[in-house]
Amino acid sequence: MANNQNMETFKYDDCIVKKFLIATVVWGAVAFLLGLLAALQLFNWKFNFGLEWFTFGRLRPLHTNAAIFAFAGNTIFAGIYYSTQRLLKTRMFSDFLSQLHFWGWQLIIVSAALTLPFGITTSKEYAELEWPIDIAIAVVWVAFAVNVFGAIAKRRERHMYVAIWFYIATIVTVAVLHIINSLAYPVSLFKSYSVFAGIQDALVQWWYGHNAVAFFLTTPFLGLMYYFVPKAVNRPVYSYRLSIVHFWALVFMYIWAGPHHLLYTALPEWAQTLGMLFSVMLWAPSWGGMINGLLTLRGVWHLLRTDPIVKFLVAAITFYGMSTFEGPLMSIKSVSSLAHYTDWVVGHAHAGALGWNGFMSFAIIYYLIPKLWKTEMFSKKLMNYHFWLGLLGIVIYYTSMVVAGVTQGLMWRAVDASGRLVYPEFVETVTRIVPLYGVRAFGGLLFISGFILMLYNVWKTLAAAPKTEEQTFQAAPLSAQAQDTHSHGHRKLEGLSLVFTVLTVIAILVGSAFEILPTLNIHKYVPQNVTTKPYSALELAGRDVYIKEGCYVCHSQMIRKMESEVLRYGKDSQIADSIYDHPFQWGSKRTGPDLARVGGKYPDQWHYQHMLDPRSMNQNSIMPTYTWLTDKKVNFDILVKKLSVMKSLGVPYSDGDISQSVQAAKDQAAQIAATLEKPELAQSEMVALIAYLQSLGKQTKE
Amino acid sequence: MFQEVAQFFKDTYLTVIAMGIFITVFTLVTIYVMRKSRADFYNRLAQMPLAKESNNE
Repeated sequence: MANNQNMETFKYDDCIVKKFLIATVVWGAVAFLLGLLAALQLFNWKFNFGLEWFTFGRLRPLHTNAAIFAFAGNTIFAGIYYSTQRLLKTRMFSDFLSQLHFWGWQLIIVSAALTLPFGITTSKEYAELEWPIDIAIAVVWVAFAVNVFGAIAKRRERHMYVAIWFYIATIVTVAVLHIINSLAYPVSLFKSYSVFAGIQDALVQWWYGHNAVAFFLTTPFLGLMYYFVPKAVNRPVYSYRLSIVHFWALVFMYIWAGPHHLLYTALPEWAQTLGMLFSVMLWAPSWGGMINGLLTLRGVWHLLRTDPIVKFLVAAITFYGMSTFEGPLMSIKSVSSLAHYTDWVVGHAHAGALGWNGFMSFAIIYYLIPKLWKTEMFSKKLMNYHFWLGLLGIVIYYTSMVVAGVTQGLMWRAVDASGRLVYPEFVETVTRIVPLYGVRAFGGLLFISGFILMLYNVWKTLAAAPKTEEQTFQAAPLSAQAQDTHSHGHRKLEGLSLVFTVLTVIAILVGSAFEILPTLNIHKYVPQNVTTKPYSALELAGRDVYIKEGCYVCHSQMIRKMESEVLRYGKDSQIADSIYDHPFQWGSKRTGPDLARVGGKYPDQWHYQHMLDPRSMNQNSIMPTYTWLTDKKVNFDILVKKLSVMKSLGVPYSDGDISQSVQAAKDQAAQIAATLEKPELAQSEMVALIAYLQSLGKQTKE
Repeated sequence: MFQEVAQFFKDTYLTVIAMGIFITVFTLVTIYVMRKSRADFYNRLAQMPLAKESNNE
C-alpha cells in the first residue's frame, strides 16, 4: 500500500453529473408527454389535430428518440460520470470534453426536435436523424469516449470494476453500430439515401436497432446496476465471477440477435435461424445479470419495505428479467409469427423502457440528488407514491398491449374451413383493439402522474438544498501502488484497458461479420430470371413523401411467408422486390395494412379521397388526414440529383433516365392529375405519393 | 430430421463456425472464472463500489 506521502489530492467533477441529471428530468417530461399524445392519437385520430407536424407518423419517431437518447441517454451519462470517477479514483479526463459532451448531446436532441416534426427523417428506426446530425452524434460520442478512456488511463485504481467493462462495451459498440448503420449518400443538407438497400439495409438496420436496445438501453444500465445496487443496499455484488461470465456472454451473443426482427420475411433462412438461436441463448446471460442484481440484496430484503430507491431498483431488475425472458420467447419463429407487427411488441418494448430503463433512472435520480446536493429528498412519501403509480401504469400499459397484440395477431391469421380469411377487412382487426388503446393511454397517464410527483419532489429538494462546494479526495497514483504479483488471466486483463477494449470489439465484430458480410453479395440470393425495375422519377419523389410523412410507422411493406398473409396481401415478398430500396421500407408495426402489393389495388381517385379523408373510404379508419399533400409542391429540380445518387448506389438508371427525369416526372404527374380530374394537382405531393403507392408490388417481373 | 433442418441453410459453414467460436470461448471463460483459487481476490473486487468515498466519511 502507498504511504501518505504518496497520496494525491483531487476533486470529482460532480457539476457535470448534476447537469446530466437535470437534463434527464427535463427530457423525461418531454418524452413521456409525447408518448401520451401518440397513445391518444391511436385511440382517437382527432388527436392528430389535422396538423402535419403532429401526425402519429412524425410524432412517434420523436417520442422514441426523446425516450431513448434524451431521457435514457442523459441518465446513462449522469450515472457513468458519477460512478466512473469514483471507481477509478480520478476526475474525468477533461472538463472541456465533459462540457462538450453535455452541450453537444443537448444540441443533438434539440436538432431532433426541430427536424423530425418537419418530416426530415431517414426512416430507419431509432436512427431517423439525417446525416449532419449523425455526424454530430459521432463527434460527441468520440468526445465522450476520449473522456472515459482518458480517465481510465489516468486512474488511481488498478482494477476496473465490472461496471466499467459495461461502459467500455457500450462506448465502442454504439460507435460501431452508429457509424455503419448511418452510412448514407447525401442528396442535400436534409436528405440522404442509405448506402444499403432492401435486404442488406434490413439486416444492417436491425443489427443496429436490436443492438441499440442492447448497447444503449441494456449494457450501460447493467453497468449502473452493478454500481448503484451495491451502493443503495450497502452490500457487494452477489457474485463477481458471475458478472465476468455474464459480461462476456452478453456482449458476444447480443450482436447476433438482430435478425429476430425479420422472421418469416425475405431474409435468407439461415440468417433468420441464426438470429432466433442466439436470441434464445440470450436467456442465460440476461438472467445471469438479473440474478446477480437481485441476489445482491441477500440479507437486506427488508429494505424493500422501507426504502423507495430499493423498490425502484428491484422492480427495474425484475422488469429486466421479464423483458429478457419475453424477448427470446418472441424470437421463436412460431411465436414471432403471431406477435410480429402487433402491439405485443409495443408492450414488450415498454415493459423494458418504462420498467427497466425508467425505474433504474428514477432510482439513480433519487440516489444521486441527495448525494450531490448534500441534502435529503423533500418527501419520501412522494417517492413511494411515484413508485406505485408508475408500477400500476406500466402493468396496465403492458397488459393492454399484450391483449391487443395477441387479439389482432389471432384475427389476422384466422382462416375458416373453406380456406378464406375470417376477418378479410384489416380495419376489423383495428376496431376490435381501439378500446385497448384507450386503456394503454390511461396506463401511460398513471406513469406520467408518478413522474410529475417526482418533478415536484425534485424541485422542492433542490430549492431547499444548501450551497455546496467540490470536496477533495485522496488516493495514491498507480505508480506508487504495489503490483499485484499474483495477478494473471482475467484479473490481469482488467488492468489492461486497451487489450480489454480490443477483445470486446472482437467479441461484437465476430457476430456482425458472420451475419452481415454474406448478404453484401445480395445477387447471390436473387434468382437470375427475376428483374426489378427501378422507381420512376415521380415514384421516387413520392417515396420520399411516404418517408417524410412517416407512413412506414404504421404500414409495412413485407408480406411474410405465411398462408394468412398471402391470402390477405398477395404473393409473399421476395428479396428482389426491394433490391433498389434505399432505405428499405419493410416496417416493424402494422397499425394499418401492409402495402407491399397495394399498387393497382385501388384507383388513383380512391387514394386521393383516402388521403384527404380516410373515413370517407373506410368508416372505421384511425388514419390521420393528409390534406396538406394537395398544397405541398414536389421539388422536381432535385430529381436529377436524387437519381444520380441512386445510380451511384447501384440502382440501374441510365444517363437518359437521369437527364430526362424532371420532364418524365412532370409527364407522369400530369397523367395522374388527369385521372383525378384535377390538373391543378400535377405538381402536388399528393400525386407523387399516389404514383409511388401505385408502383408498389409492380416493379419485379419473372 | 437433420437433413430437413439443414436444407434451409445455404451457408451452413457460417453457423457451424459461429457456434464453434462461441462455445469454445464461453466454455474456457466459464471454466477459468469459476476455479476455486483466489476467491478472496474476487471478493475484494466486489467491494470496490463500497470503498470509502470521501475524506469525511
